[in-house]
Amino acid sequence: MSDNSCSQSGLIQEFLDAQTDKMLKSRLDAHLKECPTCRKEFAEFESLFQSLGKSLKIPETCPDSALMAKMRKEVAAKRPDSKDSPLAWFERLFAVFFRPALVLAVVLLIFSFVIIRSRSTLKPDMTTPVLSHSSLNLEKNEVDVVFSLDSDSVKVGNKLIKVAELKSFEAGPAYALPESSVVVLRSDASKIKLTKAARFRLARNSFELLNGHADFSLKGDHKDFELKTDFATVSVIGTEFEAQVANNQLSVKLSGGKIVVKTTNGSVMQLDKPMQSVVVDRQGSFVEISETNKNGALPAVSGQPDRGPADSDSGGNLENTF
Amino acid sequence: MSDKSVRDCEPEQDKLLLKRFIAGEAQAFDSLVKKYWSQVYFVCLKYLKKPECAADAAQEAFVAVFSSLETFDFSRSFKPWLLKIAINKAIRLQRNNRSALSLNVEHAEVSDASYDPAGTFAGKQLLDDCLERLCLDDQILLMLRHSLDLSYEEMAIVLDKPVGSVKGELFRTRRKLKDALNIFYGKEVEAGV
Repeated sequence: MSDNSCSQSGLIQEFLDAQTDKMLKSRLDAHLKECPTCRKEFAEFESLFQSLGKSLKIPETCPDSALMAKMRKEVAAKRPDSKDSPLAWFERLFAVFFRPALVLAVVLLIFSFVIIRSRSTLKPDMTTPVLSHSSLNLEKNEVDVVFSLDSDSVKVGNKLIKVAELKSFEAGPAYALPESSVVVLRSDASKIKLTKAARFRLARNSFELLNGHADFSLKGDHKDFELKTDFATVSVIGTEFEAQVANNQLSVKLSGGKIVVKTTNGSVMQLDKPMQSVVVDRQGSFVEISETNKNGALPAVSGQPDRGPADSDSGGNLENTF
Repeated sequence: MSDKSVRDCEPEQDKLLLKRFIAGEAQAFDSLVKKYWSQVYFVCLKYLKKPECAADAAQEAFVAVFSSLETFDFSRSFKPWLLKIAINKAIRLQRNNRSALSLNVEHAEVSDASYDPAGTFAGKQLLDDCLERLCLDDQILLMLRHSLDLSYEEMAIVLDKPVGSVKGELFRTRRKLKDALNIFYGKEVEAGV
């Protein structure tokens, strides 16, 4: 096979492909004057191009009328704007309107399902007080935890707070507050005072004291409210009492009203006289029962409240550390 | 080769006919089919060899193109788009038929070549034989350029390749063809290359 080593040889075929290019023609003319190899090749390619033009010329043909009619019919059936076929018109209508409407309907259905589900989880049981708002005020060293029957909002002091704001509070895992923080239950008059070391967890209608000391002052109807500890549950009926969890023991002292202490092993004791107190151990046994306490302190629980790591939070609960 | 000014007008004329067809003028469809039937049919025939298969492929291509004009980019030429679809149809049918064979001119032996002392390529029979012995891709390249008068850019669209590749392959094919013909005419010996 021959090989034209001239760097300008590509110009020949390019020129023969587009002979109207004047720039190309002048460049090629200039080169051909100087290059005999390309002159010879130009003549050969020119002859080849002429021969290819003749040899590859395709004859003019036309589809017969039957084939034309068949193609017309097929195209008409497949065209989206075809007026010939009612079925095609319906398909177009489906594509333009029904398909997006169907997709929209499915999306709306899923969306409303999610909304209903989320509302149903937020909506409180009308017979049970639920935790509807918690707020943290570092300036006043206060934490307010409010139970309410109102599903939409709750009044804290003079401020009306929407339940939805609770979401922002749920994200916070733990808070360090000075002593004498105040937890408000249901009304401004019902308070639980917590020591600095107290750790608690709030469920739907219970206050779970994990560790530390809490003073309860609850007014009004709190029959659904319970104080829970690892060792015993204290049911409350309009009362004031103190509770302390430390060294694997729960100490409870009644100030007023009436409480029922039910331990984990099934023992039950009702305290209905002021200054009555009990101590419950880990096994759920009443280890000390005292009718009065002259200095007003809780029955002796040795050592300071534990400050161990927070227990893993159960779903929907809120745990704070003081 | 057709006149360049005529070739430049073709795309605009095609687009006018297409818009008339979209507007509902059935006559525009007939005009475009008649205008391009030969080109589409012979390209398909190159792949499929059998006239009835080529007619089927051409028919499918026209139906496909006119059924999906919404996807056509009116800023581009109609002809390369039509030919690209036709070639795809033909290749699909060819795969089904498995009847097309190709030979490479470099490995072919031409026994009936006659020496042409005039040194031209006027021996049409010899040229046709050499063309038939080119591989199918090379034959298509030459057909797109010399039968259908496509530019390098249009060929690139049809073959879905870069313009530079198409140009290089076309140049190599023609040189291969010229060299083969030179051998048969004994010009290679005369030139002492």
